[in-house]
Amino acid sequence: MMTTDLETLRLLAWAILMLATVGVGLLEGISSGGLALLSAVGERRDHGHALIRTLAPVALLHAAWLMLFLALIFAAWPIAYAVALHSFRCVLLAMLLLLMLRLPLLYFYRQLPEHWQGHACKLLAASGLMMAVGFGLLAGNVLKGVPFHLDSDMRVAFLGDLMTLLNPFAVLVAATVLALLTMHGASYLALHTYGGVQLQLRALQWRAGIGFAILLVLTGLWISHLEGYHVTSDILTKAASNPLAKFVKRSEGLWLDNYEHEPWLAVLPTLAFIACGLVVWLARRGQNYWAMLSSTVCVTMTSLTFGASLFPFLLPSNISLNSSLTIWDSSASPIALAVTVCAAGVGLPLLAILSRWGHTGFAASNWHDGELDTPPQHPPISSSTKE
Amino acid sequence: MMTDTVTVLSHWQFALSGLLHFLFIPLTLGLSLLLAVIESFQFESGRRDDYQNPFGRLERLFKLAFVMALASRLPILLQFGANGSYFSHYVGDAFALPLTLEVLSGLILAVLLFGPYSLGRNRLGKGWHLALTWLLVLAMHVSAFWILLSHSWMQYPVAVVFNDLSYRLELTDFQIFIANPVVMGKWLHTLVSSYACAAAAVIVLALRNPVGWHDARSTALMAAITGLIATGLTAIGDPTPKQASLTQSIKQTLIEGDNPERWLPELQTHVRQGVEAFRLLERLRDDHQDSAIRADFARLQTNLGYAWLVKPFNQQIAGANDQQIELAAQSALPAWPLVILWSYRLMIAAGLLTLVLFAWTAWLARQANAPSEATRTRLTCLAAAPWLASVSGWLVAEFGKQPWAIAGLLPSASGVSASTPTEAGISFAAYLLANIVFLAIGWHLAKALVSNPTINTTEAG
Repeated sequence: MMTTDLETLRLLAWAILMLATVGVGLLEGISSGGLALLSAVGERRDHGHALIRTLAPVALLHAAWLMLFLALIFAAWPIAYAVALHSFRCVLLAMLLLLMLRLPLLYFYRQLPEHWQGHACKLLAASGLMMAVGFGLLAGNVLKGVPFHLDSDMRVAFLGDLMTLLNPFAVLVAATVLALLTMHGASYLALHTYGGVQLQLRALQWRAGIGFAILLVLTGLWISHLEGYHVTSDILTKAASNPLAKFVKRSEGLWLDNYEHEPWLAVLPTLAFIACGLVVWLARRGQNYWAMLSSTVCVTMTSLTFGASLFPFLLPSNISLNSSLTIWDSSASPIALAVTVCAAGVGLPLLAILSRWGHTGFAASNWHDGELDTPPQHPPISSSTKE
Repeated sequence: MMTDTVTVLSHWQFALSGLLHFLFIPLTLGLSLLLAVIESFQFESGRRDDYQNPFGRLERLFKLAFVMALASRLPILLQFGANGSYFSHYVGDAFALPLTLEVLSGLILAVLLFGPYSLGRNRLGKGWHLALTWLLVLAMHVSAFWILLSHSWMQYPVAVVFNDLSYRLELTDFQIFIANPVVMGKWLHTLVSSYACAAAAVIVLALRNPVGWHDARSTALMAAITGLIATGLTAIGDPTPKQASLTQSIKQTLIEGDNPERWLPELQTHVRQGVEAFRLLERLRDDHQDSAIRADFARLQTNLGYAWLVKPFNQQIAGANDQQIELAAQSALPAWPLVILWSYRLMIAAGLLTLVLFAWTAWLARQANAPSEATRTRLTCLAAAPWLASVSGWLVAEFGKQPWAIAGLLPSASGVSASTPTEAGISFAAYLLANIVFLAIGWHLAKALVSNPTINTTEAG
């Protein structure tokens, strides 16, 4: 009974992981992408402040979703959590320490002394940039394969270094994700700002959109020639988790295998591409709401494309192929997985709805408490900032 | 087994992250309840002016503590995997579950409610805001329960069994896991000590009220009474050291100042059985189907954790001799017995000073005259006592658990990731630097928020 259920539980847990990935992409993507724009928008001090004020009330929620994502991986795939965090610790250390500093600086920005605000602004921009690039580097390395090895006691050995993680393919994916998240961040900010800063954001939005479309095509082309991974032995979907109990081969173009077996999956990258095109078109027409909606579809479809390409792998190893982690051999035990799936199955949709309320109900009110209908008053827009 | 340098640096890094987080958690948890109580009083009595000034500054302090507590949580999540990758694999099946449930049921909800709580005071009606405040309190208390379930399980693990195929501990029964006999006592003990810490902070704010002592008297009295009740309840104590487990018995012996070596024979028996369990495990891995070996292993597997203690003395655990077993048993005794003994005494002393603080404040609040500057300074110094008691209690719990990460199941040194000393050093230095900057930001913001009445905290950013 339990072994029959285990396969379903693992699939459900993977679906939940995908949902959480989309959640992090959509929410933390806004903060990271938006803050990364500070370096481009923040030349005028009031524009930078407008960005900070828009992001500050929702940044805590976005960070909490990132924590949820990490906690879900830990509970549902403990060894994947161990391998990923150990292998990527250099990148993650920079990401999370900057994120830790970001939260108080962003929330209490105006309470900082004047002479601190300039430094805080730079740190916030660095944090946004680091997060966006970091997400990309992690995604790129997962697709390329991570140089780790598991011994018979399941002890993790990472056999690379920071330079290994900065390989050309991962850098390309990092650039792609940076473009995607800046487009997404700009879409959110353009929807919640007015005047000159909004015009500036719209310009950045469609430029980032075009950049993302080009980089997405390049990444797709590279992936079609990149060495992918495939389980060659029988996949024991109901067996106890043991990553070493399988054989894995690596060969060019194998990441496209799932699309060959399930051609409908091609809808995901196609929709990502179309949605990106829509963002560019709508941003140029000034239709901020629809541009934001398209951007949401774009981030969702890109995240799902990543997951669908990898399936059933969670973390392939490019040094010790058989140590690669798949959803079938690295999950938690049936009881722990069942509790996680039940809790997240109920909690995640509920939290998604509440998070939507968190964005609409109070983010906007941060501008003018109690005067929701009145747009904030910015200083006069100088002609130089108009597009 | 990692080198000593890597293990020590990893431990220090974790302690650093834990301490940083610990600075803000009692304040956040305790202030949330106190603020809800004060807001309820205002709602019922309409005497808002009595509290308004200290209340406003309290709220600011709470907002800062909340954001800092959330931010300081991030490095802890990273630690488990980055520095304790084997820990994450070996015990993650049980240990990570409450953490996930905490994020799902408490943390995100608290963050979601914090937005309207913090920014919506003027938009929401009094009733809605009060309801929101109590919901926030509930979310934070639920969150604390799950975290303390993880902590309790580390001290007193239940409902897990070693799976030889996955080579890790796996959860056997969620109901037994959640009903850990330690958790409720630990949760209540932590909550009341958090209320005491928060009450002390309220007293400091009331004593330093710029509008004057008269306006802050009622707040100070309320905080002092809350603090007295909370401190009285902390005397019930954390039930963990009284549990019938070897690790906790050794801890209790050290707390009482007795010689822990009387536990050595029992420890040696556990190590011997652990080594035997390890031998059976090796045979089991060669032949999964042998039911006799499996039955023997099932009988002895609870001691398997003691076998890992042999590794520093003999990498081939199965071949351990008597001397190595004795050394392993010796290493199962906490390496810093005096820290446990004196931390416990410090905790009791700080607890008594906490009582003095609250009783003195309650007496002063009944007097018409404002306290002198010298008295205020003394009371401000005494306000550190509840924190000192909490931190000392934490030290007793953690040092008393050593050398284990999970009592009796996984030694701390075995859970550490495979890193070079240079990597561990760089990581530690980065943490240290980030924590110093983080604390500097927190310190400055605390001063600005509490002392500058013109600051508007109903808007973020």
